[in-house]
Amino acid sequence: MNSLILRTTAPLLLILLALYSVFVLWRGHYEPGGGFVGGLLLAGGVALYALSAGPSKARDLLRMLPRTLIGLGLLLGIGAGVAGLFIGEALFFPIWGAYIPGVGATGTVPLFAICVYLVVAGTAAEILLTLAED
Amino acid sequence: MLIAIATAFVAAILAPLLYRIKQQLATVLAPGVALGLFAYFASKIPQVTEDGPILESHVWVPGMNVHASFILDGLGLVFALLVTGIGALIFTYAAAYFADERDRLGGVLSIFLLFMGSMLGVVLADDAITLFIFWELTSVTSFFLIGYKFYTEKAKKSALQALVITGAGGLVLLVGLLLMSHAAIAQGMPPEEARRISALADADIQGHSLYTAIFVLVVLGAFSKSAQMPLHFWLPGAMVAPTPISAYLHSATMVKAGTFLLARLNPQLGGTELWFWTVTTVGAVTMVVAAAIAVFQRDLKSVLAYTTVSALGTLTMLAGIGTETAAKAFALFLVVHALYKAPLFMAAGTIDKKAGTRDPWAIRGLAYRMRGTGIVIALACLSMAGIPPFFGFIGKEELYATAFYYDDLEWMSTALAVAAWLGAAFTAAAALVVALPAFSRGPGGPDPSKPPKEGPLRMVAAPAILAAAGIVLGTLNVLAEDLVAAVATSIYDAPVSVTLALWHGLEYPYGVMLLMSAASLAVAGLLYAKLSSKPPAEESKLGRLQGAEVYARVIDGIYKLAGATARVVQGGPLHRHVFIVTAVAIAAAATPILMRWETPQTTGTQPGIPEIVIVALGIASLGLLIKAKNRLVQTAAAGVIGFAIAFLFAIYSGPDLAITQLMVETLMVILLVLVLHRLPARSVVHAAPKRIVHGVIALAGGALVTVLLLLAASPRYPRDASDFYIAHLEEEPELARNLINAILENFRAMDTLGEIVVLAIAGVGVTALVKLHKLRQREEGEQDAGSGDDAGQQAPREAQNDPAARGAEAGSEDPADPSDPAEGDQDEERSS
Repeated sequence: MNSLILRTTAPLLLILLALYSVFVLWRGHYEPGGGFVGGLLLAGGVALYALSAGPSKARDLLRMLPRTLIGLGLLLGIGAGVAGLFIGEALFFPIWGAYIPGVGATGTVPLFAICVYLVVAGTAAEILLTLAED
Repeated sequence: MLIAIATAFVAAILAPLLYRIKQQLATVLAPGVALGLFAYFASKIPQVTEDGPILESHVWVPGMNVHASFILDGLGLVFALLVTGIGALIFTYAAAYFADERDRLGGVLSIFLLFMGSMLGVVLADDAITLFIFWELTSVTSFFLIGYKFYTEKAKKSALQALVITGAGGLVLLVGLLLMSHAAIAQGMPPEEARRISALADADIQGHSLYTAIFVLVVLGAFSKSAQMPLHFWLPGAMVAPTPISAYLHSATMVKAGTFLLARLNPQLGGTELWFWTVTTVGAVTMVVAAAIAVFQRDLKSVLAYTTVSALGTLTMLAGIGTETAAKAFALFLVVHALYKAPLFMAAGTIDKKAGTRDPWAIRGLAYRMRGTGIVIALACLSMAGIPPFFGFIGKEELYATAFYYDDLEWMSTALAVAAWLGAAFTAAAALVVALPAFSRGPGGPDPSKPPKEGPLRMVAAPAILAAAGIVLGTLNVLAEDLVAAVATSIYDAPVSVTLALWHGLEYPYGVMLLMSAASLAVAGLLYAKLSSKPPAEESKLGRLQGAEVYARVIDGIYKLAGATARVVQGGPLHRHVFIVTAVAIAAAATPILMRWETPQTTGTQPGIPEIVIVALGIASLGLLIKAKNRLVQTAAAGVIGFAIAFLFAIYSGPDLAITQLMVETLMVILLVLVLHRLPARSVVHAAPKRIVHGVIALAGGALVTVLLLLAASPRYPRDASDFYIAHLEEEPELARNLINAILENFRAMDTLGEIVVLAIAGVGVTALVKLHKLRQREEGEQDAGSGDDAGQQAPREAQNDPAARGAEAGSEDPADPSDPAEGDQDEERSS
């Protein structure tokens, strides 16, 4: 899309959206938000950038295939689920780490939120970029 | 032992990373780790042979009574030594073999190490579940290795075939193992004991009513893995893998896992009539038939593959017989076979690389050009043919002795001797087929203008070490006595003493055995002479026995069924697809509601002005959506409806839903815009009757959702679930305070995992469809360029690339792509 305004602002918006998506992901533990919305926000940023700079530039910027994000997310997600088995509990038994001031609770549940974030962002970005390239 | 296994797995993760940094690091790391583990297990030999098995147990899943228990007894030890020792040599060999495919060596070494760790897990496991997990891991890793040339149809098929057969066998085995501990618990064994395989030897499983079922399940698992007839066909198919892989997995290690299991479970399950007759017969038949097939193959690797099947048959037969002599013969033959088969595979690989053929009848005189490899082949084949003073001779003598010392049934003793003799004769003939052409002069050699050169040092030294071990152990056979005795003790479940010798004198039965050896060699020589004058046809019918065809029919049938179902349910244009899915969903959900109809009662508040405005906006957009013919207008209208719903969510205190809905709508609009330019600008208008049917379905869908919402809000329905979640959230302060996310990420995390998997599959599916479409376009574009007549209405930039293909398919196939993510997204949305 050949809009000067979009071309100029898209990189900035991408950074903002990426940061905001992480914020929404983090916020989801206590307030409305979470991995799903966060992932969509990130994908939205990527889509915006792809519309202005072209999908190949967007891919270069990501530095890894969106598919890698999907795989990483699923792997971590299964890991977060299986972790419970190793302490003799059921699948997806929550294991909590230390409470870090300023960050919040740590453990398998927040980890799982990150997995959802990665898979959703990866999938949405993959679909959008693939279609945009075609 | 856990640390030994873990070392292999950690090395498997490190290998590809190191390979990227510096290739040599990885090519040293992999054999180094294997050699280190070999040294570790070798250092345990005195302890195991003198003091008996070493046990080790780690708590794993106490809630399910699963422990990572390991046992290092004679049987496990000798397997561990073979797996690590041969592993170290093959990893060295592989580094040279894959020299011209450098980019993939790191991955191969990684999977090799992964496989080695899994195999160690199998042979050391003492816990039923631990055994099963490692068992399946060897199947999975071998799938990747057989499918090394994943871009060829044959490799894909063979890899899948091996995975299906051995993987299914593993599942069957799991049930068998669980039933075993179930039977032991029923007999009063404490449950924590009953999962330990070594402890199960004390139970009387043979006397339990489930014994037949257990036997069938376990033996099926073992037969599938160890390629016993009629499940053998996957093993020759697996020979599409590069030779180092065949040498490691399909001669020395993985395929032995089945016979290992039979030997391991001999104390627990053996000794019955059923065991003896089934296992011995299947083993003996496989031994003889596979060796006979081997002689007539025109591919070195096929010859070796079928002799491997035959050797596995021998081991199975010995496990079935289960006498003290049989246990000794098993231990000997296991080592003998590994020491000659792995170097032969490696030599075949070197010949393939350097001479460009694997036809044994096309390499006359090769041994004089490739002297090192020639010596390896000579040494290994002498052991294979069972010629003194090679280790193979001792193995064969013990095999004959098993038959002669079997005194339960006289005619059986004779039958076993005949079977063993036939097997030995055919195996010796196969050894001649492998070795002699390379050493004989005459026509039919490799192209003299391009004489093949010897492979690099590593490709000669690695098999040479193994082949040399065959003669060293043959002459200095005292060295092997203790270890063989320890293996036989594990199998026989009572102390066994072993004295090995090349010369036993001439008194009965040793004199007869020498005569049999001589006769088998004579027969082999005659057979070879006959083949030498007239080599077998290229396409031998012997190889294709019933099993492979049954497998092919079953797999074909599954594909056909899937294709037929898809054509009915998902064929045709997108609107029909959507129509079927929606109609089925409505029918499925509406039936139970209508069958127990209750008028929903609501206690909701009256809507205010903002809500009325928003709903009115939504309805207006809906009207526009139905009336509009232009796709862009339709997309915008659908977007407005989505945003209107998002605002409703926001007003009725559903902020999570609202922001999710907003994001989904935004991305959906972008998505639609991305695919819009390739669709005709105006949407298809159906005839009136069709429009009415579509309208009815749409209205029914809307009505269903409305009723469902009203029912969910109705106070008559219990709110147990909500109360449960709220109560637990207050109990555990660390749980997310956002209840919605606590449900998604914690209480029902399993559901969410399922959903993100669906999402991921949809994403990968879209990529695959688009890429496939592009590929077809390119192919069609090459075939009939320049017949684009209706390309004018497409988006000009895209259409110019490929007018013909785009015009043909734009109407039906393209819209299917965005439909997938839409479904995935909406599933997710509903759950939140």
